[in-house]
Amino acid sequence: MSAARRLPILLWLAGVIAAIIIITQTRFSADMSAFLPRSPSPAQQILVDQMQSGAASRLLLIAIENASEPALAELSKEFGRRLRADTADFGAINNGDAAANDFAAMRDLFWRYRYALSPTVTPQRFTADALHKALENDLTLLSSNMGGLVKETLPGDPTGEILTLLNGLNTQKQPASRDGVWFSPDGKRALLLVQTRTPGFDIAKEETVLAKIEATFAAAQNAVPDAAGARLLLTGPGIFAVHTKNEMKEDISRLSLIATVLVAAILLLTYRSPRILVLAFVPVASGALAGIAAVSLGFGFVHGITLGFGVTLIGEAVDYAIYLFTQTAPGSSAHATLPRIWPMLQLGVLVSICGFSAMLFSSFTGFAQLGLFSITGLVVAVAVTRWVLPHLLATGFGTAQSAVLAPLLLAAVTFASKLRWLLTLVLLGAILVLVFHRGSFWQDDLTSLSPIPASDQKLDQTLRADLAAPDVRYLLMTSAPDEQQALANSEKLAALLDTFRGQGLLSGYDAPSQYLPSTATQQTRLNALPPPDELRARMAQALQDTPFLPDTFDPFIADVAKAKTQPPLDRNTIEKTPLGSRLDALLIERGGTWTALLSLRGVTDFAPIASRVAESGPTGTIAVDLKVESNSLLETYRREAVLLALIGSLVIVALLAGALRSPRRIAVVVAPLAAAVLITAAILTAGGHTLSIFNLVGLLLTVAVGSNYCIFVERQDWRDENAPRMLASLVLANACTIIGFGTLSFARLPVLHDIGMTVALGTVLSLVSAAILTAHHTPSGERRSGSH
Amino acid sequence: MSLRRVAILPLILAVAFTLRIPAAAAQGAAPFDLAHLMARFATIKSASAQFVERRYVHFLKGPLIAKGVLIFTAPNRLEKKTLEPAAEDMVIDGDTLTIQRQGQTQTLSLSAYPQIGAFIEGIRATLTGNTASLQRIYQTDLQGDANGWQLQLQPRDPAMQAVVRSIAISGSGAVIDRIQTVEHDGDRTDMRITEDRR
Repeated sequence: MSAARRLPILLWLAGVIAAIIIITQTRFSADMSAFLPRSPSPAQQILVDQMQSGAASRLLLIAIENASEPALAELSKEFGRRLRADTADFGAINNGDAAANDFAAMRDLFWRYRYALSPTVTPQRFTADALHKALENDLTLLSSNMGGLVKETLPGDPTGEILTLLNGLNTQKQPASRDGVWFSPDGKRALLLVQTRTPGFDIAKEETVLAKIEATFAAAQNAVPDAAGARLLLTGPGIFAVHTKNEMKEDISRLSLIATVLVAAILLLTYRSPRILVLAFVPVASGALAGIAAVSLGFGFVHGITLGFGVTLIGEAVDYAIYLFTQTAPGSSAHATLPRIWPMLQLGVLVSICGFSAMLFSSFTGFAQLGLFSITGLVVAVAVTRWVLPHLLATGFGTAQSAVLAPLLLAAVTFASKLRWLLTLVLLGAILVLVFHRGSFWQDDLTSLSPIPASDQKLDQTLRADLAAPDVRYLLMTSAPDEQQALANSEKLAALLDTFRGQGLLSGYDAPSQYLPSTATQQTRLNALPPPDELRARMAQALQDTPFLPDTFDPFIADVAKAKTQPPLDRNTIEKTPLGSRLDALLIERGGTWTALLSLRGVTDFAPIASRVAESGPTGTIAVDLKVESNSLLETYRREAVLLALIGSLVIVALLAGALRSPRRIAVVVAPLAAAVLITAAILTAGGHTLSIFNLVGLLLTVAVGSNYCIFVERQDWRDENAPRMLASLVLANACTIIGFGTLSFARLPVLHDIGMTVALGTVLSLVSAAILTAHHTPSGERRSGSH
Repeated sequence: MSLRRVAILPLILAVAFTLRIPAAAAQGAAPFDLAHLMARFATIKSASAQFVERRYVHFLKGPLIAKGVLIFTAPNRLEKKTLEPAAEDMVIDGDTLTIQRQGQTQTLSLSAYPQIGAFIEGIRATLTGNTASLQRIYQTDLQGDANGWQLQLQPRDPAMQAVVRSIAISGSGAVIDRIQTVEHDGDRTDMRITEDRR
């Protein structure tokens, strides 16, 4: 082997080794937020952050089913007891089990800080007259059915602050309950809410926690009679992350295996040579390795989805080897074939690169990775085909077998020209479908982007409904440089909301300042309490003409004195109670900015609330309608995707125009592509279906990949002696592409599934349309002369 | 609060007892025991009675007095309608307890609270005449004869004892005329009942 021949091979080997080294150092990620785009507004950013790592992301919803009701209840209690013992992994565990004393801890906190917490604490409430009225009211309460309840707290709390606080909590709907623990309304599932200490996105830790939950469940199951058949159902962001990762892993290894086997089978059938088969995969493997290494270098990590996309590279990069092998006639050398097909290969790869480059500019990290991966993969694959593969092929190699089908195919192409009317008809039909499509073309739900499998989403919805967890839609968000200011803002907003509630605009709200008032507000309330001696004198006056014994309210006087001297309630104190998790979700510190979230319930009209909050609320407050926000978020992504697809397509057309330099020839390449895109879009949206952003990206890739076939078809003179081989290679290449993308359409992850289906459909339509439209133009000397 | 809410339960239990005893029952010289008492409970479709309730609270100089009506509808709806000193309506219907006072309605699912659960089971036992179930929850002691008897109930569960020390139901013949409840702190409630003619 001469030095000139050895050089490309040495370079290639060095590259492969370098790529392998980089890949062994690579961090692989399954964080699905890479496919949730970086959001434009700060409000949306906080929302997305909350979804990813906030208190909500640490929440697991657990259901136990498939046993008798008493067994499920016992199992829930035992399971809860065991989970509570593991304080290192779990925060709050809620299953309605009052024996767990969660409520007691909360009540104790309220009791201890009732004068700092209660919004009804004002100076007017503690005058002798007001106290006398309070005592009269207490007597009525005592003789009521609530007497037993009031009696316990009355001596320490004649003004009923604890009742005010607890009633505030009780306005929230509780889950249904049976045998002392939470159940679904139909009594078939016992329910638990578990707060883990790991944020949902930390998949490795989340998996350990999940394993612990399962082991704990198994142990609890053994300890409870009649619970052997019981099943554990889990949902929540952490579970989604783990499931998605596992599904992704399964999908990718299964699909790449299937695609490889199918492509290998086709190649083996065609070439009847294991050696050729191995060689055909050389560009593919080199491209895949280079692609992964490039993404690793460019992004610092490689997303699992990007690997999944490697499946398509199998179908696509193998094309280049196919063109080379199939178009090399028996007895001739691959070196002779290359100059003939190289211009087309070059243009094809350039066009593909243009299509994939549009993805590079996507704000979805995931898409950008897919773009870089595919570009690098294709460039390396074509380079290996061009400069390495010929050296590995034996001289005199020929693929006699591949030509067997060729005459048949040529006949088909000749016949295809007679099908122009059919294509026109189908195209017209497609345009009609698109024009008369009812409603939106686009999926307008953010969950359509969600990688979470539909079955998981459904379970999540069911359990949320079971737990009577209301869907939060309306929020007020107020940000401040420090915690106290954020709480003060929350208080101002709460006061506004109270007036709105009076006007019937909403039925209630949850504000962080309800659980943790600002220190200033706490102090104002405590200052409203009279000093001990003064209070004693007023109480004595208030007690006149009442049946209460004189010393009954000594605890009250002592507690007020204590409240005035004890340090203010702070976050640490709350953290230890079940209120901690609620506060975590409502008061968030992020990068030195404190944000208070107020979630609104029973909103009848949000517009006036939003406008008046904007007018008179504290600065830095945003009124958020989550549905509108998530829709506008989606709208932004969609606009970006449409823009990228348009720019990508225009660049492709421009590139083709530059290379072909004839309007007629450009039309011959572009027309089949346009037809393929329109028909694919029509098929996808037929029957009122909507397109996802992933479908849109798929359409762009259809143009990028399908154009390769159109280029080859356009350049071919059908009377040429090489025509049958060229046609055979195109059909084979297209089959492999369809296998690659088609296999992907069986993925459970929407991103892979949607792209795979769209491209598989689109590329086959491209080839068929190209055959139909081009054949009509043969023969043409103009085209023939331009092909070399 | 769950524990505290339990405090109203003995009352409900008492109501259950009151209205389940048929007016015409317990005649003749049939042997008088709990089983017989309970056996007669399952025959009434509906009943109503007047009540006067005296509540003795340790920090009050005298008793608080409440008056009203008790109404039972088969199979499991009980209503205690207080008319004085302030209007209040308490209904236990199956698994749900509803209290209406001063224009506000509070509803709570009884089985949400384990301690209440036991009381409810006691009520159910009474309504269905299930002696065994009643005796599992309470230690029962029936004194006297058909013309003058007292049924003493003491909760077995310590969690229940933390709310109610004992319940004493007395009747003459087939009519309950008094239910006394002693709470954990020694406070008591004394309810006198006059059944409406049926």
